[in-house]
Amino acid sequence: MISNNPEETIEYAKEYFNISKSKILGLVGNLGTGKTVFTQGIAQALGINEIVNSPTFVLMKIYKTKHQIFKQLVHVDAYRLTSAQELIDIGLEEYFNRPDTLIVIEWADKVKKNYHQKLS
Amino acid sequence: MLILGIETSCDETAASLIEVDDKKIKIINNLVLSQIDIHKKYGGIVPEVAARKHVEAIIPVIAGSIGNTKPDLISVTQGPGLITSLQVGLQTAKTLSYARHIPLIGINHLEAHLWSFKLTNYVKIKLPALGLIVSGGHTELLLIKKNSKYELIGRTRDDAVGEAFDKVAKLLNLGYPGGPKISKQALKGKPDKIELPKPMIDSPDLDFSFSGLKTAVKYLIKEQPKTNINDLCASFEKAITDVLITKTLKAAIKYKTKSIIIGGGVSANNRLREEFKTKTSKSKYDFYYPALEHTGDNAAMVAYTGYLNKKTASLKMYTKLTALPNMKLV
Repeated sequence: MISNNPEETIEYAKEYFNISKSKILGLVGNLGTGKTVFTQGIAQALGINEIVNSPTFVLMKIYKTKHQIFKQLVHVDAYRLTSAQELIDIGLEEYFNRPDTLIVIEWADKVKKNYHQKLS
Repeated sequence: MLILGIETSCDETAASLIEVDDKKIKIINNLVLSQIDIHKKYGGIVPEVAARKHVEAIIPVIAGSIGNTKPDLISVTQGPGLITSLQVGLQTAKTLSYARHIPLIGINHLEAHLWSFKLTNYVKIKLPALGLIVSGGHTELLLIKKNSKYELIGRTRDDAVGEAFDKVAKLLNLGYPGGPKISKQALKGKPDKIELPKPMIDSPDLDFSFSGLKTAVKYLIKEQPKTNINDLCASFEKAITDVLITKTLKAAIKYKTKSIIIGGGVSANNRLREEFKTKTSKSKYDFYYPALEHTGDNAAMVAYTGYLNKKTASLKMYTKLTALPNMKLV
């Protein structure tokens, strides 16, 4: 699947959301690939009306949804992180393994180190 | 009134003591211990490192600020910011408030940036006013209504302005923090040389978007690797300032505001300040901007914002104040 513009990325993200069973999505790709746009598509599918913008600075943003299963979306940006331990340091652990929470992690490749020992 | 301000929302550990009443303000000291050098090698802030450094620095910085004096109020940044960093300042403030029986107040970091110009220009402004907060984490347009209530009327839909500067600086291998690096290159370049998009400049709302501009730079240097970096930086800076100023002036007309205020780290940008000065004087708006040393995170602005909100301060506040990483300004 190749997206040629932000609109297509949004549509693809919505379709993906409808078929995906995952509670944690890791997005990998360089600056300007469309990771935040993809997350915005997921947010639309969840019925979030608020603006979902880049969490690079605060690292994590939490949105309440209108979805029946997922009550909240946790949007993480690991751009500035270097290991899974730092996901714990920012308080993400609290949101793992919760049936009512969908987690999207941008720059997931940055926190691959120790991820499975630390968080799953 | 003697106020101690404490600020640890991001990568600065800061404390400041100010003396303020309705007629005058005096900054007794304004200490900032920056972690920029520490974070430079990572190309940005690392939260765990930030929190650890805050822990090391917070007591010496506060001790250096207050010495043996007992302030009348402690004002601390409650949010928005990095949760781990915020907690260091907040816990220290709460402990100090409890131990020395000093009233405490938690304030919003954005509100502090908004009023940072008052630290050197203690004037009463005409309302309604517009506030543009531009920094690494924020691009927000606020309306300050006649009753001094705030309304968020515009914000970024993706990247913050300072973030766009940082990320473009990274794409161009210029280093961190990106703003000053790009501005330095831009001085040597021609701002009209390269055509870059000015996202949402004509959109009917008051929101911003800077992600597409970052992507445009990315593809430009990929497709035309010989592009002159100075011209690119100058054109990028111009695209950003044009969007910010156009949207702010549009909002000023819409809400019939009398004053325009800028604040936050990116308000140190020379092009932004100068263009704003020119445009606002033509359109007869009063324009306020902070002194350069108060554009970045500092605790004097936090102390002053505590003064503005002093009615909500209390001795018991230490029992209920918690860090609010996504704190909204209302």
